[in-house]
Amino acid sequence: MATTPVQAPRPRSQSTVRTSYVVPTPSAAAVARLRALRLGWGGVRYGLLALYMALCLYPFLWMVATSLRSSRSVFSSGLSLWVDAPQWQNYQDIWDAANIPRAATNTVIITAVCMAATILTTSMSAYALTRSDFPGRKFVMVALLTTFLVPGEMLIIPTFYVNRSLNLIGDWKSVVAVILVMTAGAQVFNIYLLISHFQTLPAELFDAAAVDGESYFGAYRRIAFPLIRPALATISLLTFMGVWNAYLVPLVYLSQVPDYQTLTIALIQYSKQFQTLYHVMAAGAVVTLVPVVLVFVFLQRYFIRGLTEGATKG
Amino acid sequence: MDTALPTSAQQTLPAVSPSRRPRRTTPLRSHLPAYLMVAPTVILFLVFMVFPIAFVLYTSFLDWNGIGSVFDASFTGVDNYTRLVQDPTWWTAVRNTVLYAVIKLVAELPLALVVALTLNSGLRGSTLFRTIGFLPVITSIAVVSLAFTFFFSPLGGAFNDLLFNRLGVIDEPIAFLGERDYAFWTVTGVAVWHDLGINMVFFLAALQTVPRDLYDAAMVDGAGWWEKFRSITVPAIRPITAVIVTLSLAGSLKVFDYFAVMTGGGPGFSTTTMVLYMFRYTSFGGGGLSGAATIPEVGYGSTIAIGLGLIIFAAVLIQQAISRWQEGR
Repeated sequence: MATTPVQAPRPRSQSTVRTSYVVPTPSAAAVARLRALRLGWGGVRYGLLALYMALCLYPFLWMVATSLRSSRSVFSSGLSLWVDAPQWQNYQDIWDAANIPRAATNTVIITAVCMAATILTTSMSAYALTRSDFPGRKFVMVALLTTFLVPGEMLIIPTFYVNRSLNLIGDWKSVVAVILVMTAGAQVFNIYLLISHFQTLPAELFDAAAVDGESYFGAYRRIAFPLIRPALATISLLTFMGVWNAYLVPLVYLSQVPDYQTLTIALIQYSKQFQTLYHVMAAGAVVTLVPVVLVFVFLQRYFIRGLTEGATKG
Repeated sequence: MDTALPTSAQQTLPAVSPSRRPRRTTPLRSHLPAYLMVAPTVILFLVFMVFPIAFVLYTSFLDWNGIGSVFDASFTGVDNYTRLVQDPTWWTAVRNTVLYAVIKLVAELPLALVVALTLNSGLRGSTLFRTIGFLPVITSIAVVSLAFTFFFSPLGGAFNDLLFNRLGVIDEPIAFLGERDYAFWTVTGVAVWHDLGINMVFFLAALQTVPRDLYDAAMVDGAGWWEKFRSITVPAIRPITAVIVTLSLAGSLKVFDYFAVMTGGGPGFSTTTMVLYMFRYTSFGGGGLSGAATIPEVGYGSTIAIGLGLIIFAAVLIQQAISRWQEGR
């Protein structure tokens, strides 16, 4: 707090740089007044931020506290974050009842495959769309841009029947359907994001690669792909977050196949079955949220950069 | 080095270029690798975007329950559309969704800007604050909504504890998610809480592009706080504000998770949104939604999907027109 930059007027008044205007040297009393004002204003700003941060954090802390309560104290604790006797049993309960190990495995598989498929398909087509002017390129670009306006929610019904006709409903096939639908839905945005990155690579790079005998695909794999790695990291993170947290698409395809559900679907189905076991649900919520929160805490810089870049470039 | 480079070029050039360059192949053939590389995207795109758009348009004219074959369904012309226009519940859903989108935008924009301005004013620890403020954004909406179901419960929920036991501002615990007067506002509040951080970060990114010198120069010129805000900050955040408005509106009009988990559209249809209402006529995963149909009417559901698409499209067009008009001013 002591380092609040109150000395702003000082360097100008004593500056050796000639300025056309005169800044009077402030009196000691004026500086003190200014400093008090600055400190007061700084306090207000910190107070404001602290309030906002408390509002952001409190529900999570309360969720953790709830996940450790007994079936009796859960209804009498209210706002309190204090836990008398932590009931770790709640985690065991949700672990068994919602088959967490199975659901976690499903979630990891779906998320990982979606990430790999999205990275691969979008980077390949963005590369081809940037580097070559093949007949039909314009058409593909315009078609992609046009469907950007079509909300995925509008296509929930027809894509379900597409998957049904492709015999992709039931057990592990539903998992394939989820992956296909979510990968398809991620195409347009990411392709446009990647095109903007591929465009920054100089054409001479590919000319030189061709001279060295590098094939079209080889130049993608060994030159272009590594060079846009930061953008691919961004897409990986956003895909990870989107798929791990997804609710609508998994709900459509996985609510009927208990063994193939994601954590979120398993938890929501559990909550419909045991409507008052809030402490056990909270344990499930914590288990579901922790991986994303951990990834975010360690990679938050990339998360935030990725999202802002997506908004301004995509 | 000097001698190695030219020789290697001499060796590779004649070897590669004849096979590659001069042979006049058809353009389609020479672009074969490019076609192969866009193929996965194009196939996904055709199967899961283009065909479904045509299919949903087609089924929106059918009386189809979605269980039998679509070829056996009877074509009913514009019946579904006249039904949609005259369906009061559909218009309730539209009103709820639009109201949600507008309130969320109106609440989030100033709040996010205030937080971003505060974070950008050179306070210590602003990275930590930004991390915490962004935390809700990355968490699963469905899971967070589930926790808030209990948070707002009249039976031992934290919010009633605050208002009833600690502050004493209400006479009896309120079912914030179960009563018509409160449910919509409570869910909207949770959504604002969850999504505020993303707009805060967008604003912050825009604010950080403004060079500090600009503010210093303005201060030397004797500009007050408001003048600095109006002539430096506002122009800096104008482009990102347009992006935020577009993203926020487009996202809000598709809202599903918050309402599906916390209220299921109830009580009655007081918190039904467009997507929730569409779900009501399908056979998949709609269990627990308010007034879920016992026999799915996928034809009518498709008509709702078209209506939903048209409204989102219209909203985007209106918003684009407004921002273009503002730029032209």
